[in-house]
Amino acid sequence: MRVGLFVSCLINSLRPSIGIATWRLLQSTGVDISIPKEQTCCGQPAYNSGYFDQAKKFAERTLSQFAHYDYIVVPSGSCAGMLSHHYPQLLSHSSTQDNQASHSLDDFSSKVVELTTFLNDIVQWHPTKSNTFNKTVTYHDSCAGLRELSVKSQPRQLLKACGIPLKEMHKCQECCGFGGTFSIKYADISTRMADNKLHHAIHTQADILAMGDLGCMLNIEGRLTRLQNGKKINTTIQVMHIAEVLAKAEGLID
Amino acid sequence: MQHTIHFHQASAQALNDDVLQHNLQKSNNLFVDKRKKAIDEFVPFENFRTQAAQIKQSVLDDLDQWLLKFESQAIDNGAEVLWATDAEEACQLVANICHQVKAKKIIKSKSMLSEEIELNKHLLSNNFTVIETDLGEYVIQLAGDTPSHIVAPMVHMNREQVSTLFTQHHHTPPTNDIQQLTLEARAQLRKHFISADVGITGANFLIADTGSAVVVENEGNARLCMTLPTTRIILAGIEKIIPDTDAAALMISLLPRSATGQKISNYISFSTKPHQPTDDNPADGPTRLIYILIDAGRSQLLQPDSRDMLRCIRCGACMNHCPVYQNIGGHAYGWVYPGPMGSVLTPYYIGLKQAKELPFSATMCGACDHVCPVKIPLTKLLRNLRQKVIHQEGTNTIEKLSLTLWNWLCHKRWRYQLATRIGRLLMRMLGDSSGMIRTIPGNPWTKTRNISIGNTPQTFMQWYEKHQQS
Amino acid sequence: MKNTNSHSRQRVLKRIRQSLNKPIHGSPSDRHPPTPVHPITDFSELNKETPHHTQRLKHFIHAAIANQCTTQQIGSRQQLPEAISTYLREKPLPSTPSINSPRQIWGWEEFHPLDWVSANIRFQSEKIDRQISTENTIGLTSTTYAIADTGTLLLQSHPSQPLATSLLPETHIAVVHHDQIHHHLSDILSNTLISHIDNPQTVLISGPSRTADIEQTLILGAHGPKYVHLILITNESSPQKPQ
Repeated sequence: MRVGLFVSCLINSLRPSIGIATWRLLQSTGVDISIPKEQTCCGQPAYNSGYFDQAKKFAERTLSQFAHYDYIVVPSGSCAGMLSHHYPQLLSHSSTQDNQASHSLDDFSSKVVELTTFLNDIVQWHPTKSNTFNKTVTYHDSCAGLRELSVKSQPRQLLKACGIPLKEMHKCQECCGFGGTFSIKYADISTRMADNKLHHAIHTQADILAMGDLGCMLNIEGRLTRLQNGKKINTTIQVMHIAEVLAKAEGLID
Repeated sequence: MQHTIHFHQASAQALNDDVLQHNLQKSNNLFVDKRKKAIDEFVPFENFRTQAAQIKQSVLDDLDQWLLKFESQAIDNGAEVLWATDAEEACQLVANICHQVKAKKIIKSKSMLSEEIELNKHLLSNNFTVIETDLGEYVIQLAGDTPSHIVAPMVHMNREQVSTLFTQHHHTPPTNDIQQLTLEARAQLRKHFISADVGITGANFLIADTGSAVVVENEGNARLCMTLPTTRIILAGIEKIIPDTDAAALMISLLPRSATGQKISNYISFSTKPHQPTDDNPADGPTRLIYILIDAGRSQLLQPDSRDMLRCIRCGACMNHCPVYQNIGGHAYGWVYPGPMGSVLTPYYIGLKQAKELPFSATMCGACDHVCPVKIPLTKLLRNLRQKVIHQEGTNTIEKLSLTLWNWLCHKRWRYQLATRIGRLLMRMLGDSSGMIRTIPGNPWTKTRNISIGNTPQTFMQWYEKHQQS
Repeated sequence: MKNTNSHSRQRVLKRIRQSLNKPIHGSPSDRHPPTPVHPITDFSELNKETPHHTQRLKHFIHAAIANQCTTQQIGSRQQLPEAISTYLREKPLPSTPSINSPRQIWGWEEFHPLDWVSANIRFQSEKIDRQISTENTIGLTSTTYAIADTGTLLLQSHPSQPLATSLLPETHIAVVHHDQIHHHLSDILSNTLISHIDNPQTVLISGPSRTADIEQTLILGAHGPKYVHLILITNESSPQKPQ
């Protein structure tokens, strides 16, 4: 099974540790993984801002970079959704499309898998070591992962397999307010939504707030640390990517 | 009507309006929870949703034929059918009819279309007395306000505000008892129902096969508007047509569940023909029944790229589930329709220039798509509108430059690598020793949130390349 | 105005046809156009949860009570005045009459022949006086159909069966025969509108009028009746409806 890892531009530049955790998890499954060196960004910022022509360029590049894999694993619900759902829509209107190109587009799209879906559903990942990571987790369902890719039970099953107790928060499926450029264009609404999310998460008294999208993480964690700076909030909750949680539980990272 | 919507400003104000925030929090969960319960119990929901979308779409694909079919049937039934190209014409037609029948008092049931065309304003300027009879709309009318939700127009208000208005207008003692307030409105409005000359309603659906109008409600005020006055005017957008009574049964199984979580709304009225006048007693309904089929931008929306939007059955589920709407309420959207459906309709109906902020008022979370009973791809429509705004209205220069630069940088590996390294360096300079940045001058993000660069000294790709070599 | 309007009609149709990429001028068949093709509605999914027809009465009562209706069951129409008298004994008296005065109800003509005098009820079948206060007024109607799934009544307007009787009074009493109960709305909708084409108005009623406009708090008795009482007749079939 040949697997290509699309690491995402945000993880690459802002949280390489999540990339490392992801890579180690994938390695531990024994599959053949490679990381195409030319990869950059999936093109969401351009696409969601209405610059479809630019977004097409990102799509064309990514398609050619990830042409020959059995699976393309993505540790980001929104990037995975972009590659599997939106690339076909972007490129199917292109006048250069022919039957063959359209077929290879569908083929590509069907191979894109979000990380927890790959681990849980495709390779049935299970921890091999007993869990020394004694923390409770509450899980935020990132919108694209949930609604475009049906990522819901997978992270929860993986946490359960690791023996990590899960405390569901109220409105775990509600958007955190990131929304890409929305977080800048409508920063005040975005912040309010992050506050609501933090409120629900902290209420569970879980140690960790986990999620599968770095966009969400930056918004939520960014707000949390600001509130902590100003002593406006009293909590020790930590925000982590699900890859980091699982990798820690399995002793793959410190 | 050609006002510009300042969503930015309005939403910021809404976030800081404590009374509004309190009222919103109370109402938000109710709509969501009630709908969920109703849908969870309704096994055929997904199947019916798919059918409803297909039926509505097939009507839209042949809308001219369906409208003619409806018109032909309605006329055969003895009703009158008029057409209005725009809001102004619709208002004039209504006023003409009211003048013709020498009306003094007009009663109305809730019609968002009548809000679109600003009917009350026009009728008042023609010296008619117009009374809104839906309780929420009545309160709004007394307050000189506008509805903030398409199903629950006064969701942004509380009982104290209602009591103040009633004391002012009815000269009754103040009360915080909601039942008392409702009874008071009942008594006041009953007087108007009995003395009205013309009743104006909307129509949730128009059935082409039978030439009937369907009105869905809980209060009974619409029934009174279509029973007591001798003339009834039905305002309907041209997209309201459905083929037959079977389709009506399908829509009725979806609309109340999606809107309020009810299995069925309290009253659903089907009006098919005018009543026969009688000598001594008043007839059981209007002896004159007049439809006004209104375009007002719908024929434009009918174009292939936006046609999906015309399937909307005005249930309000999208806004109830929209986390942005939940935090700011409906008025911030600046016109008749709030939330996701409003963010699509408003630019099309009042102009892209006037409403260019609205397509960006979403995080694209997709909650709206998920709950829409007729499967309208709202996030896709919003994204398409964003593209239209870019092309037609231009864009923020910084945004355009940044995105163009990003595309250029991502085109070649060396550029991307260099850019991310430089970017990280800049971030290190702006942040503290742990990599946490609290201020990026001019950046709205850092006004309320930090951003941090994490603790690995290099990008993931750099780390991976080194790791591979060793 | 007629000329102006056919002009507007043509303009709207033209714009629609442009958006649909169809020829913009209509055809002679515009006045009586053929019905375009459309998907047929399939209600078979509902059958998965349709109980046996013998259960319909039970389900209807259950759903009606969930809608805040009250119910009574009697064997035949002859028992109606007595049943109503029993029901009214529990209701507060109108402000003026004394405790022994007959209760007054407005009802459809079809109920006139029943023995109201023995039940101490003053039955009126003239059209309900719109000017009178709605407090303590009672309207009596029959129904055309009832729907078990949602506890709904279907009434149709007819000169001897004015819908106003189910709308203006404070209390609406509706007589439902067991054989009038169907399970789903889809079972009756086509029938009622198409075969009774003379009928100007049909209404589905599912309980007392209600509103939750003020702080989403449910209040019964908005503008329509505050009380809906259903009297179910279990041993007789429904009489023929007026044409």
